[in-house]
Amino acid sequence: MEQNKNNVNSIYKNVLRGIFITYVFIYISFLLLSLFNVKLSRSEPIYPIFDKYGDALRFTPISLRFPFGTDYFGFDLFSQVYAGLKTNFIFSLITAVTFIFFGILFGVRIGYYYRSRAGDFKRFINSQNINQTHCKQVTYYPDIWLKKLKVDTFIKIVVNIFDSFPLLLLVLMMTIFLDGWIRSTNIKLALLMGFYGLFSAPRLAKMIIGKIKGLRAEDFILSAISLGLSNRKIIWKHILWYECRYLILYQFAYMLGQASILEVTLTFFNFGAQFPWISWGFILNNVYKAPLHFYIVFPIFFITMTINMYMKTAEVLKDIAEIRSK
Amino acid sequence: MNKNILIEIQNLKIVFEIEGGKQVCVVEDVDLCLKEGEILGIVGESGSGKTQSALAILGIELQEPGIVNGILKITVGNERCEFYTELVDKYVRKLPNGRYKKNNRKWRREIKNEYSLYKIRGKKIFLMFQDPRSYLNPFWTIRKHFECLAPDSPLIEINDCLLKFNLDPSEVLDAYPCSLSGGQCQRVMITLGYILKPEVIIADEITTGLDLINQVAVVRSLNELKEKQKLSIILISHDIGFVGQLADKILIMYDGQGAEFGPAKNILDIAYDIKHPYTSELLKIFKDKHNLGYIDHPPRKNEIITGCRFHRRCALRETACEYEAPRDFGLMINEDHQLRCKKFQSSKEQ
Repeated sequence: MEQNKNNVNSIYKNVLRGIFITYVFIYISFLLLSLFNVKLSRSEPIYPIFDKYGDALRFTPISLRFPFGTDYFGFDLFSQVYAGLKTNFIFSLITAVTFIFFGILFGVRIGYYYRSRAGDFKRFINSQNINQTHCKQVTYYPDIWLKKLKVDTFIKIVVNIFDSFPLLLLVLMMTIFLDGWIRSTNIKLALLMGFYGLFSAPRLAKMIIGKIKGLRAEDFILSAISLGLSNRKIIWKHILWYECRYLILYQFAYMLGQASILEVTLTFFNFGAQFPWISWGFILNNVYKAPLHFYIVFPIFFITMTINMYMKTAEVLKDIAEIRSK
Repeated sequence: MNKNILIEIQNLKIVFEIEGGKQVCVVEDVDLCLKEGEILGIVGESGSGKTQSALAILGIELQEPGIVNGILKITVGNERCEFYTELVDKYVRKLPNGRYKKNNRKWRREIKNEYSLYKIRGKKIFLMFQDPRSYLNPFWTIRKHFECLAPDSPLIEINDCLLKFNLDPSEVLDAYPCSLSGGQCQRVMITLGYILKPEVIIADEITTGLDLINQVAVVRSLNELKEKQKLSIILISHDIGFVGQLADKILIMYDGQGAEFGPAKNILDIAYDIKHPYTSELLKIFKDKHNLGYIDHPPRKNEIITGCRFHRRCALRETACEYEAPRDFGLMINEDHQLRCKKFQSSKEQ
């Protein structure tokens, strides 16, 4: 009985894995085609389709011309999903790249170089015999703090401040702030996505700090120093590439997924991409405005699967990273 | 024939911080001198500061703040370095509570730019560690180590060198350090040293943890290396017998201080009169390992000791030894022989 159960489970897992790989393959093919502006349908995603009498073609049945049909306003859903793929990927990529860049920068700066500075700071407080609960601390602390305010300390403080903000609220605040400064909604969205990446960076930074602090005490790092490798080489070759690459990759995939959701959400609330860029949030917004139809299942399924794909990829990479760290 | 001096250390002092914010002096007043083609042995108990002194030669401090003071002159090939003394004056200041504070960033920048330690490390002075398996990157194959650390060496040369040191390239090159034995890893390190062609090798307890056959193999490899490349070697060990087989000069260290420094033949000769009591004790134990007698532990790191550091264990101690520290480690017995002991100092003065 148990053997049968195991067999069924393994078959089930293999089928799921097959579906996942097929989906990834389809997604990447479509993404590449859309990035190189290859046209797959005759209709334009930004214009509704009208019949010869000037009426919008609403809820057209599925056909070769309209593989996902049309919506209430006469938009071709397939061409919209196809165009949204490019928009979604580009804006998500901005977030993920910013996230990785600043995460690594903060992590390495604090993890590798911060150690001695922190020691100095602690010693100085100890040497002054300041009781931290005592009221004297209020008068002495800022002086010491300003004296010791070096680049590393500053970065550590910035990272902690970034980490303590609620991110969605911050993004909405930034939207309102940028309204008065930048007119182009697309540039505004790109900036917002960049800020989201920057403000999420402490999450990666903290993981890298943990990794580096563990590795800094390892003998092979001391050996690498004694053999004449520079700090930069040690950080890149010994620590980031050989120890943290899967961690960085899974965080990258995870961030792509998160950013996709954010981009769709912002566009849904009309803060996001505008014409001539088409976003998946636009399709969802049309669903919200108009009567619902069965055809809407296709684009929504595609959106959900895409985000799910990113998350699933992140999970697989996370497993590899964990196994590697053991 | 006058040989060139490659490394010269005078009054080396290393200060570290231990738990609770206390600063302790782990190495104090160590003098040594390494000439071209010589083997210098450093012998001492565990924790006597042998490794710290060796690392200080390469400008590495294991802990913070890692204040190193003294005069260190390195002349290897075209590189000439003199550092630590001026740096301490510039970037280390003494706090009112008696502790030191070091500006680490400027210190490092100064060492890197002015004294080009990066050019010396590995290429001119090669450091071999006690447990090579942990000192090789566990995520790199041996091939990757050679590619990264000796990028200019062709694969044929690496293969030849591995064969010379009795290692099979097809077996070793694609293996990870964890899948090799301790002796194999040590020989991989020696091969790396052979390929990098340094002028000085610092071998830090390289035979510890190896079986006798591997020990012999490692020593033979080291000898071969010395003869073929005319290397100078600093051999660090707690085994005076092992060091005595190879070394031309020996530095005996006790509790962070240099106790005696001189030619190996004088130090190892029991009949030779002028000898530090600690050296005599070491030799006695080496000759008769079963007759240990009473041996006190060396002082703790945060323990304040007046007088000679060895006085508790010393058989020749006088009352003055408990209160007065022996003067600077500069008493000459003859041209090369120095030792730190009140007894010999006073007899010389008389």
